[in-house]
Amino acid sequence: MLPPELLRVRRRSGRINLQLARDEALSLAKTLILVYEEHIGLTRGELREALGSCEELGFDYKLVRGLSVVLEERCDFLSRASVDPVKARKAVFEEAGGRVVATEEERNRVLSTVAFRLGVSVHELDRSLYADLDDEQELAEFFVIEPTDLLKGYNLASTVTLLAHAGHVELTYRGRDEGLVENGEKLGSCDVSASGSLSKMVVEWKPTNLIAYKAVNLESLLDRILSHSWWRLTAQVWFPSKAKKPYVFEATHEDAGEVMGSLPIVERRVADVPIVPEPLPGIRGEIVDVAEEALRLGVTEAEVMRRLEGRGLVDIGGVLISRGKLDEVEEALRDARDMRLGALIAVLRRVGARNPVSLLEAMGYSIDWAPDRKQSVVYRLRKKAV
Amino acid sequence: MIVLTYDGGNVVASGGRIPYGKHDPDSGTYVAPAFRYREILEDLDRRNLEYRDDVYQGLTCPALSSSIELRDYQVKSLEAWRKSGTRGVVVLPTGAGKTVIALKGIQELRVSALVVVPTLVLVDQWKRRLEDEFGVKVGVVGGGSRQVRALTVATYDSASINAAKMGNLFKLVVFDEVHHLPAVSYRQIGLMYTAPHRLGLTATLSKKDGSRASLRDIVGDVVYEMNVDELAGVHLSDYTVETVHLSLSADEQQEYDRGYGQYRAFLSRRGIRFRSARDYQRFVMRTGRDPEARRALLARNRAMDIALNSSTKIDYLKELILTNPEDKALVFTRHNKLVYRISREMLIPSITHQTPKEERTDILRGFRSGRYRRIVTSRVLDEGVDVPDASLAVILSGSGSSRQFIQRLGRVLRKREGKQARLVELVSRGTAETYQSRRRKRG
Repeated sequence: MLPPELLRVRRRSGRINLQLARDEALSLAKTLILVYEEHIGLTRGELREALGSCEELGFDYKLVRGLSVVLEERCDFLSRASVDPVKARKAVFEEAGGRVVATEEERNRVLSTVAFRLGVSVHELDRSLYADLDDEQELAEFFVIEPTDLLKGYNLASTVTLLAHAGHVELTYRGRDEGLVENGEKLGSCDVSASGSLSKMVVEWKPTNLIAYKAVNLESLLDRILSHSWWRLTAQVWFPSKAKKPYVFEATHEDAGEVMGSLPIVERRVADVPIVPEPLPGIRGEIVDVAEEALRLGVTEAEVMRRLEGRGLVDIGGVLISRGKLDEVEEALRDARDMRLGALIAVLRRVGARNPVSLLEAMGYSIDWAPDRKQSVVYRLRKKAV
Repeated sequence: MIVLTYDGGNVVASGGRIPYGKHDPDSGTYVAPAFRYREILEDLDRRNLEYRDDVYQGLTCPALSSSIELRDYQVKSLEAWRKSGTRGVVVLPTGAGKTVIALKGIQELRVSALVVVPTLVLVDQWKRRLEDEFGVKVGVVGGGSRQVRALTVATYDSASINAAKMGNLFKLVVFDEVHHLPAVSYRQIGLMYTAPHRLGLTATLSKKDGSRASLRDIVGDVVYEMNVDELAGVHLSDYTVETVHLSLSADEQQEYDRGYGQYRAFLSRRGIRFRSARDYQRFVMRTGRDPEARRALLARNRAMDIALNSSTKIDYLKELILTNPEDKALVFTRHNKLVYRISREMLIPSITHQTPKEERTDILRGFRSGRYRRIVTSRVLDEGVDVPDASLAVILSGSGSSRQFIQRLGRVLRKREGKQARLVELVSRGTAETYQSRRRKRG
């Protein structure tokens, strides 16, 4: 997925078109790949400076940055710290103390004293000083791809980003595809109908702030449809997200199928190392509001989802919940006599929901907001397929 | 009988009209914005109407005792605030003791009070200060905490997000660094809280940008104002401001001329002239769709980078510190990149927005105790943070904002016996930075 501000779109007469990267961008793709290759062993800051220069090659800067985002996913950056940077700084600054360090000799004297104390070389200490900064990380590995693949990956990422702002997607394709339907169901309510050799899938979800979370599932959906020889996609897109009306976006196997594709999977060496489950600070309970957790932990929604893999939680659309708890919640809601929000919040809190409103919305309930929030009437929109 | 209640940022009256109230035909009530609460009560009292007031739902403030003794100008500012009906803005330079004025005001009114501040660091500072002064527990709303007490400190962000829920819990709101309040997202704090008593504090409030007018309704007029020069020597340290013009190195000058020349040539070719900040904004927006404009902007930025971060400035800084080794110095820059360069080269502790909280606290503590004699920073220490006493401020680079300049100057003005504060501003000669320097000192 790309940052939305890097999308290149044109809007006209209620339609929105993506400016995809085509052959004329091949030379730029080659240059960027070369820049990344040449910066292996250098810092992210140095790489950024070089990429900044590429913005002056005459291409749209959004294209340059968008392609860089795709390439960045194929990079491994490592910290160059030999000692904890915060400790290194404290030791060095205290050693320098009240002295004025104005010459290289004086600086080396201070660094040598501290390096000896910490058991590292002066060079290692110097490199560690600000190694915790993003710009100081070293590009350790870059997984090269072909320029044509880069353009395809960029086009796919652009389409995913735009569709993440949709609320209604219609997909027509030849034949039947259960895998595709599974992908659709992960996005929202999904209806499939067949007419002759054609199938039509309509997926709907409420426009959401969980753009990154939607993008993960959209990527799988697009990846799957790209394997079909004939397809047509129509979507209603709110882009930018504050747009007052939706725009119509269309893509077909003819215009997009050829220039879009998933990138070859990166086979990172670390994959050979047994993966130790990360400690999950704070992700507790059987009901997890993905956006809220992401905000609290300072990570992306996709990262929260990744961390919760294997816990047996069911994704009901932005909220993950255990089967047992889901039954409990459904029973509690079924038994509720008072369908006003205030009463339902109390009911849901009792079964352990920390964010009852998100839970209600994820379960397919709608809220008719009243001036007094507690008096808002809650009603069931649809039976949520779980 | 008229019954007044609070509902999500509004005062709702049933049973009769209220001033500023719009009739809601569905409920038959009158709804007025919360900040009019005080005027509504005054109007009902004046008209001798019978009413029940269920608006306020806050806590009772315990008795507060304090040992604060105000200086003469602080007494005057508090009197002025009282005279204007406990509403209004006090403008005093950094280091002149605005906090104690607010503490005295809270103590005198003895009502539930919310202090709104721009950063989490300031939340900690105010909480500590209120607890130390009054010996009571203080609530905090912001940074993951949501505990409301009779005395509560909140960030602008949290006070704004929770305005609908907290708007009727306080009788006094103190807006620290009140110049932030007119911003679109924060203005609703002023509108959605019912607090009849309001105090705004700031070191700088422009007379030109309309912020005074926009604060009039929601906080009040400026009731007391003194500038640095009026307090220097008596309550603040004597100070000098020196502007040192430095030439770029030959290579830097060549590079600067090339970049800035490219930018100027583009403007002249297209007949673009900047008559206001808005014109410049339009130009920046244009760079999103016009590649040539973008190249010109990038060339300008490269040139300004050279002017702001020139190597001759760093050489001068080294000399300055060598000749004043005993001075406690704060070095300010515009960009973090320069902060880290100086920190690395001269082994000076640095503070930026990326500095972990514990490290920042340790550096400020070390500076206070004398363990460190210098700190290099970008913009995070410009306002609010309680920076220990320093006597030398060096501005390596900054914006054209006079507010930033005054705040940076304020960092060295805390009074100490025999102290002569110095602010040294380094400007690259013959570059657009000279214009920025003039602009920030124009005030």
